[in-house]
Amino acid sequence: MRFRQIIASALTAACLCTCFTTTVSAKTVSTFSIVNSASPLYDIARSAYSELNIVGTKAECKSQAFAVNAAKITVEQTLQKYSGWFWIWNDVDGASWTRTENRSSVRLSNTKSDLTSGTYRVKSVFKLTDKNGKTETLTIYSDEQNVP
Amino acid sequence: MNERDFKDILAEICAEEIAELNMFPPFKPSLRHRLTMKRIFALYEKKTHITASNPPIVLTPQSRHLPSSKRLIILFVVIICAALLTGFMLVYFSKNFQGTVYNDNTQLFAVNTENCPTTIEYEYYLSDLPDGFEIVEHDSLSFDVYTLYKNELSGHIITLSQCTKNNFSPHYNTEKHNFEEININGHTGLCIDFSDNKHNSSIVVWDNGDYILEISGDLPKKELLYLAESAKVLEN
Repeated sequence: MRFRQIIASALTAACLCTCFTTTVSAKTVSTFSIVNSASPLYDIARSAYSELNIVGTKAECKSQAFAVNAAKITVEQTLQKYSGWFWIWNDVDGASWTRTENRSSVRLSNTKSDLTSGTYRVKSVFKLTDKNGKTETLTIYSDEQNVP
Repeated sequence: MNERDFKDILAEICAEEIAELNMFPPFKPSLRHRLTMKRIFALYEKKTHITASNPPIVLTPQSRHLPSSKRLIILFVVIICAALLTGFMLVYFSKNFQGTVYNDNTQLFAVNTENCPTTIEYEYYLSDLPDGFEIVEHDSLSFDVYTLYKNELSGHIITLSQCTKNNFSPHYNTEKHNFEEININGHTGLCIDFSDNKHNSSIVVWDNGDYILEISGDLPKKELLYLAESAKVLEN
């Protein structure tokens, strides 16, 4: 009986903790944060964007990154469509682009028209190399947008 | 000694021994003990084939109630463990921005998005560039404008980004750096200074009411703040 009570308490606590948040103000924010397994690594990169905007049946895709002491940044941008099954996303045909810049900033913007109805997102993979040869890879997904 | 005295003495000794027994705390079997006993009894029942004529030996366990303080402690520990297991987020708040704080980066979002343009209706430019910087790239989408300035001699770059509020959601490196609230021409913004002994680098982002503007560059924070204040609307 006691064991069941403990299990019930654990499940209740788990449900509560899925929306457990703590606010932090700008003046007192510290750099610590708690586990989020979806976060990429930020060693060379200082900022990164992956944005999607749907206008009618046209998708506007944006991938942008800024780094420090970077010798080269390569960005691979892919428009993906949700398959409808579990968490499977498929790459849209003809909607993958790449750009490489030998400097500390890169920007890649593209459009894809005549999209069929569904849910889309942009996947941006940034490969950064600093002047010492150290590399890092960031993968960032945009918010999902719907084509009606 | 007569029989009566002997009986009194015996009764006294019994009473003392019973009193000693009552001083012992009640037996509290551990979980392992209970599970083991449960297994033994189950095996016993199987072997002896309990029938109506041979009823099983039933031991009623002592009813145990946990004190409320112990229950609270257990609940507290369970909540902490569940929180650590499921993971929880730090949410960042500033006057015009809200964000999600991750391990090594913070994703910012704009607040106050009501009645704001959803497309770029006018563009900004930097009116007081440092010497040697020229435009090398200019790109735009319906919701976003990007201008890259570069000093060919030093190789330093400055980028100016203008974005509609609904499409603003960048990730900023906050692993070893903090946001600092700043004011750009009466608008509240945020600044991160990545400068160290070897490199100057910083980012300034602010909400001008209609759009989110961001300047990033290989410059120290003070120079970038001055550039941000020099941003003006490009007249066609």
